[in-house]
Amino acid sequence: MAKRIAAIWFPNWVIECCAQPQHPQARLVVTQPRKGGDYIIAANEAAGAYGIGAGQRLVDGLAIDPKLDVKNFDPIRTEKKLLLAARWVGRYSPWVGLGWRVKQHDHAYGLLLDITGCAHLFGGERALIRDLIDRFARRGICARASVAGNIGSAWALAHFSQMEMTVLPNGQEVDALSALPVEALRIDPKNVELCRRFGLRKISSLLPIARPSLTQRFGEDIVLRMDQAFGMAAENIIPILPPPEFHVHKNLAVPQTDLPSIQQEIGRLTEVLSAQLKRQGRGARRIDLCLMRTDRATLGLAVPMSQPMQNAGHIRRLLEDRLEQVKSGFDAAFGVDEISLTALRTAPVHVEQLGLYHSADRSSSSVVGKMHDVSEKTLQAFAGVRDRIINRLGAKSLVRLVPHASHIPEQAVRYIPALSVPEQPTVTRRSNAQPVFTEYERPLILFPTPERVEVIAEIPEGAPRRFRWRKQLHNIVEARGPERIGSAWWQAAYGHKTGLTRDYFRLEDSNGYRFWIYRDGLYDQDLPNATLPRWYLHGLFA
Amino acid sequence: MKQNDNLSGLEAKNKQKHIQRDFGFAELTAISNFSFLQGASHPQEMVMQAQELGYHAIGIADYNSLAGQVRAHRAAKLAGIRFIPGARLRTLCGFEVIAYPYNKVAYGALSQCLSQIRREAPSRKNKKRQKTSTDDLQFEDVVRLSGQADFAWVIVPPKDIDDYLDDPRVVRFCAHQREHIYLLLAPYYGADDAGRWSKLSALAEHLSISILAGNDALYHVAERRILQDTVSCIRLHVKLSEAGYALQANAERHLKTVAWLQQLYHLYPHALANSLKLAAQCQFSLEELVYQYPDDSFDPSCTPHELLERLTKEGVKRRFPKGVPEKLQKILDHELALIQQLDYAAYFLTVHDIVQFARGQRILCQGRGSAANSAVCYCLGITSVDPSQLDLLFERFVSAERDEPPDIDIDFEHERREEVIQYIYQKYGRARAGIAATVITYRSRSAIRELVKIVGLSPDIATAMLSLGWGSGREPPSTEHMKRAGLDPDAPLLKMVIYLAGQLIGFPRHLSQHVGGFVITQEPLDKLVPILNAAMPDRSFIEWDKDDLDTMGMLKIDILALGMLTAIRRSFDLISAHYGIDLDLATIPAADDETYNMLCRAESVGVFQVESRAQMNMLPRLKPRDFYDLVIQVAIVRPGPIQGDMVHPYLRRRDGVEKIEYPSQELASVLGKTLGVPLFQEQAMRIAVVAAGFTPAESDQLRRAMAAFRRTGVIQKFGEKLKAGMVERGYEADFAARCFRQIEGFGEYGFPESHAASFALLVYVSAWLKCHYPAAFTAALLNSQPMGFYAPAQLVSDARRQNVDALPVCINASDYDSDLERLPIYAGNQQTRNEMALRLGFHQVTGIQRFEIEKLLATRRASGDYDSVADCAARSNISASALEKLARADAFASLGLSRRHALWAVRAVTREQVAPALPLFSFAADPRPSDNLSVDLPALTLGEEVVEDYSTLRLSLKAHPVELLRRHGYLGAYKKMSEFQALRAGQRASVSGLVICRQRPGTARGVVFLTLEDETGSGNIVVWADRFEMYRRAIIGGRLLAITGEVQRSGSVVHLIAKHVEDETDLLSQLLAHEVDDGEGAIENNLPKGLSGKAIKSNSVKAKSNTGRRTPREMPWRGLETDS
Repeated sequence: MAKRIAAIWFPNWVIECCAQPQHPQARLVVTQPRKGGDYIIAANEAAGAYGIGAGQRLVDGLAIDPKLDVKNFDPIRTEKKLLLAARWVGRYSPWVGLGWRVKQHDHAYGLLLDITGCAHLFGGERALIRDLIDRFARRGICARASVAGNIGSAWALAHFSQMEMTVLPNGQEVDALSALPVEALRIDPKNVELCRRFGLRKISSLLPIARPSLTQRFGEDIVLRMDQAFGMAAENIIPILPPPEFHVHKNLAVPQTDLPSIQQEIGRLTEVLSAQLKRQGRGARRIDLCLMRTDRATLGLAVPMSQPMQNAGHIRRLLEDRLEQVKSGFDAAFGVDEISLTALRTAPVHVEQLGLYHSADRSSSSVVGKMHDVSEKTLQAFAGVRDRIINRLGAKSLVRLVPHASHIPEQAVRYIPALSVPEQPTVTRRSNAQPVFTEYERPLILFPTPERVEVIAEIPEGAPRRFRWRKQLHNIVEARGPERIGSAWWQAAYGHKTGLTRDYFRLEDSNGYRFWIYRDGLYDQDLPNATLPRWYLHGLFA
Repeated sequence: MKQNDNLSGLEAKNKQKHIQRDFGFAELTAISNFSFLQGASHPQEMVMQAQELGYHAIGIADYNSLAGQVRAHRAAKLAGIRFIPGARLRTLCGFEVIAYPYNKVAYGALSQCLSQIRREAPSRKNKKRQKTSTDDLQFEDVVRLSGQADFAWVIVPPKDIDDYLDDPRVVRFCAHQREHIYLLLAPYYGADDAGRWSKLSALAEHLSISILAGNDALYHVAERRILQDTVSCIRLHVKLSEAGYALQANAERHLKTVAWLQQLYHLYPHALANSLKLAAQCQFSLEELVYQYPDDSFDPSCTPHELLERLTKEGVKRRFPKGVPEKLQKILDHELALIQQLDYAAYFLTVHDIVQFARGQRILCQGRGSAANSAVCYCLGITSVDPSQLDLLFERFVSAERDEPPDIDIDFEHERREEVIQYIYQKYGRARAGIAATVITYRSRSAIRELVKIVGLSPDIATAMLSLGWGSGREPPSTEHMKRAGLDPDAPLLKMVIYLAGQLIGFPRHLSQHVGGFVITQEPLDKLVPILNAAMPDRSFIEWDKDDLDTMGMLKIDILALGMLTAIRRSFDLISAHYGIDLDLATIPAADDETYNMLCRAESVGVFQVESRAQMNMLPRLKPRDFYDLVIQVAIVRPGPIQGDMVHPYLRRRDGVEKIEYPSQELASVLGKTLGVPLFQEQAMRIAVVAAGFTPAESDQLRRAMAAFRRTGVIQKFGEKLKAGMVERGYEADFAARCFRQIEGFGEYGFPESHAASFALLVYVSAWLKCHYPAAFTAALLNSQPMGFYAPAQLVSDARRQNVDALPVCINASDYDSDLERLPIYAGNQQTRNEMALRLGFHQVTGIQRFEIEKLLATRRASGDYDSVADCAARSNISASALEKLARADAFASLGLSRRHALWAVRAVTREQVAPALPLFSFAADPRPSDNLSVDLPALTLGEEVVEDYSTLRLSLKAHPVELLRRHGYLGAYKKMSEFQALRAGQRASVSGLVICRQRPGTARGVVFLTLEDETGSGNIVVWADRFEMYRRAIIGGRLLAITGEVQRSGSVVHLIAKHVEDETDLLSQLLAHEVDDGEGAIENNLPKGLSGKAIKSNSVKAKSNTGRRTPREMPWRGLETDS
């Protein structure tokens, strides 16, 4: 059977992948930083009508319309969406590949389908691509497509034909393509430029030239591409669908409607998955659960794990917890008849490393890191607890502390989600992030909000003699200071309060308790005449 | 009783004074902003503040540098406080110590040590380090220095002193001369200052060295903390929000009051007392550095002065072979006497020596500036203008009263100046000759670029903020500016950037070399000031700039580069080669009427100085007829006379419309030459003396105050004094105000008469060359690019308007440089055409390298013309890419190949070169298929040819883009530039053309001058500020503009006052897109017969075409762009 290839091109993919503009008339552009500033790589219709288009500098675009809605190009997201689309078009043919691109960072997004022998299922080639274009259109995605006997001509027609869709019978490639520009041949951009210099703009103008002459001047490129487009050289689609690493699947003989019995089924599947994982010495970083109802509606769940897991009990607990959460929204309708579990991301697990502290994955957890003598089992258990908390309460609910380079004491630590990896300390390397304090200079307990105290102290910058905190009077016997900490003046511009310069004192009272107290503001600068300074207790030394 | 009270009050006051004297303080640990991006105050600010606070003395010691010392010294002298010079040495290992030399020997050793580390560091490797201001200074260097000479040392302990207390380096450093070593206790307001001080003072006791109180000041007042944080972030390349502990925790690194210091150091009173002790020990002052001019290289048999007299006498004979005029002899005697009195003979001889060297190498040179006042300089051949002709005053140059060194500036050919510079280095050695420094300060552009980064905005914002900027660079962008750039001026981050920029602008950023100011000394120069390596190879420069040198009384010779001298020399060479006439600056016929006629018609493209828009406008109005007119012409179109509103009165008086009168009798002598209107810098200064009662010194201070970069209040003070003085003496207030405005304008771009005269000579010479040898002059200008106002395209089209034939770049006819070619005489061309045609050289081909062309030329000379591309490739063996560039530039046209066919052939050859056949199979290498070259490539349209010409040659001889567009039916409604002259004043007219020049002079209050060019010539457009704002984008960004407006005439000068501006740049794409086939055939068939490939006349070329689809913005219009 003669090969038939469908090429799809999404001319506005970048724009359509981004979040929708605030309102339909908003002018939206997507930009990408390049040498010399941000450049617009795509613009929506409204912006285009305004004279803003790809290739312009963002600055120029903004000059035309200062209210332009600007989105940053997100290559990963865009690629991901393309992969999703590729999976979706699997409905037409299982053999799907990504469209050819001039360069890696070229923004022409498209797909290639081998539809040999598939078309009749959809009522012919024309009907197939009509259906495809319509379905994309319904999702707001503009697509152009063509069918031909090889990748080269299908691609050329999809990208350069005047029509939205073309179906080209085998053997008519030369006629159909000769009116198209040379770029349609998928030749090297350097050769495109060279063709332009020679005045060879259309494929037809290349045809009369002797092939050795072309090879001599352009290399193999043009000749090879011409052969491919005219069906004289073979070329295959490289399929993109990777098989999931670990996947278990079960069709239920009887559709189940009640959650407990579904959970039971899940439990069984978990055992199978766990066995698969163990056999390969790998652990799942994420498990996807898919429940299919008899009416073909699906319910999907995903649980992330902080460490590669292969323990069936643990996985099951996480899935159950999550199902518990969605219980109210769970509607089995006529029943679930198909359940699948997929471990999309896995990593190696070394179970035998009992008791040996290895930091590869665990250094992210400072609490654990401190416990040098804990066994692997404890670590596993701890990770289990952590996963469950996060699973129940959300990723942001569990935090940990990381140091942050700042003179302002309360800003010297930051909370970050427990699962997140701290930012690489590129900055800290440069800027001497080592805190310069000894343990005597900063208190063990720092109050989240400093507490007001009444203080008797020498003016202008003497240490407190005595102070009253929570109604208790403390007589100072020993004082060190002041340590002067200026405000982070630049923070005002970022919308934070900057505060005044503080004078910190380390104090010891007659009972031997030690305090960290500061006066807010300097006498001669920050405090207007006759204003009494405010004093705060900020922390306690052990 | 009352008396008693008074008395006791007085006593108390005295007592207080007494106390203050006893417990006084001297700051010895300050740094200035010459510790680049660390200090946050100018040296003078630091000094003033110290004086204000009643410090006894101040020592500013910058990190491994003496760059700010002279400024501080000067400021201290003015403020009346003692300044102690020194340097803060920071070694690579982090040891920090401040060195204060006790005497000249120690200072010399310090300076030499700093020179050494700078000079030895390979500049590339060191570049990264210099940014963070640490140098290759080793601890051993410091120890060695301490053994070499007598210093007071202040050890600066680091932030964390725990390890420092038993640091072996400290122990080792304190092994000797303990009585001269101090340990710094500074009030940082850290976590435990008291503990720190007690530890340090224990350490000092242990080592038996003294402790010293000091502010360790980074800035003079606490408010500068913000700026210090900012510059620290710039230095470290971190954002403010991420800098963390790299910044100071508080604002305490400023100069504190003595009373406060007393309170802080109440436990360590001797630390305060020691500051006075140290200050007393360091009695060295920069005044002690006596500079000596070299005199070793002259004839040992006589004194320098005798030699100078002899050389002058010889020079007189040469200059005046018919005998010296009596007047000049008098001047000479006077000058020589003064030179002897001031002992400057050696200086003149050194300059003479350099000029002699240049002459020997056939490098054109000419003295400029005030040196032209000197008859001795004229006789020695340093300058070319006879001062007795112009009544110039030698005292302007050198005077006994003004105690300042003379300043001789000499221009050399810009391409060959390096030879002169290397000659000086070679003759005196690196240790005795150096170029002065230029302090590069932050301008709004650089400041905003840096600030945007540290604030954490994208660099795009900076681009946006600066994109529309035509500002002076001294102010941050205004609110309107920001709005126009699409930025919100109220956005807090941007506000902060603007605020910080306001603070940062004017701050020194780094040292760079001065354009050419040389200092040469008898003693080793590095004992006076550290010498650094410049970024350029083989250059070294000193840490002081020209103001510092002035303060120190050091003589400097400016070795400057002037492109026009190169062009003139090249013209002379071309004329000598092709016409057999030898010319030089002195033998150009003077007072040539034709030349002046040409200038009066404002045909001055390419002529030195008078080719700018403003000068061209002035020429027909001023109508120069003799040399002195040219001197005025050069001087009048300057900010001084324009701001002083002196131009129009002068023109009116010159035209006889206004009566010539003098504001007073005493000014008649000052203003006689310029019809009662002050035009020259010295006239304005003389007015200050004669009419406002300034002393000469005051008037000079006034001039200097103007030149100062940051506007201080000083100017206004002088201004008031000047105006008051003049009004008091009976002058009109209006005249006084104008005089002052003029002085203000002179401050920055002043032209003294002598300088104008030197330049006027070059104006005349270049104009004469243009008038009589236009082909040679144009070729010389093209070969000297980049220089002047105009791009090659304009120079060539101007030459063609002067009836010079321009011949294209040709593989068999062109040289590397543009050259002249004698045209075959054919009927009709003798009368109008120039007998010599201009042949464009390969240098005009974009991106081509000289050595490739040399290969090509050598082969061509050796074995004859090339007859095909393959022949060229095979014989010349030039690279594939060079061959391709030549093909693209249409250099093979004379072989009957269009650029496409040539490229087709080149590609065939070059692929072979890229992958050469294996020798084993060479016998089988098939001869290239014969149809290779006869391939049917579409012919280029004329439009395509023009676009290609511009992108490969930056000009086209085939057609003007505007002409083509007109032919295609665009721009039809617009008048041609040739019709422009005939328009009536007040008439409404529209023109269009390529923008060849945009100017917005600082003096014109936002007015923009545009010059548009079409195929018939160029026209002048004036855009008032309000219209400019309306059409800003078009005016700044457009390359092809169409302008409608009102005609304004004054005399023969015609302007169009723009009312409506249209950006037609997009039309340029039509050149590629347009399909024309008006039946005249392709280019190949249409070359003028008999001239095939040698000359293509612009009006006979038409071509076939094809379609193209490129947007104009991405077209390679490099040649069409003009800079703003």
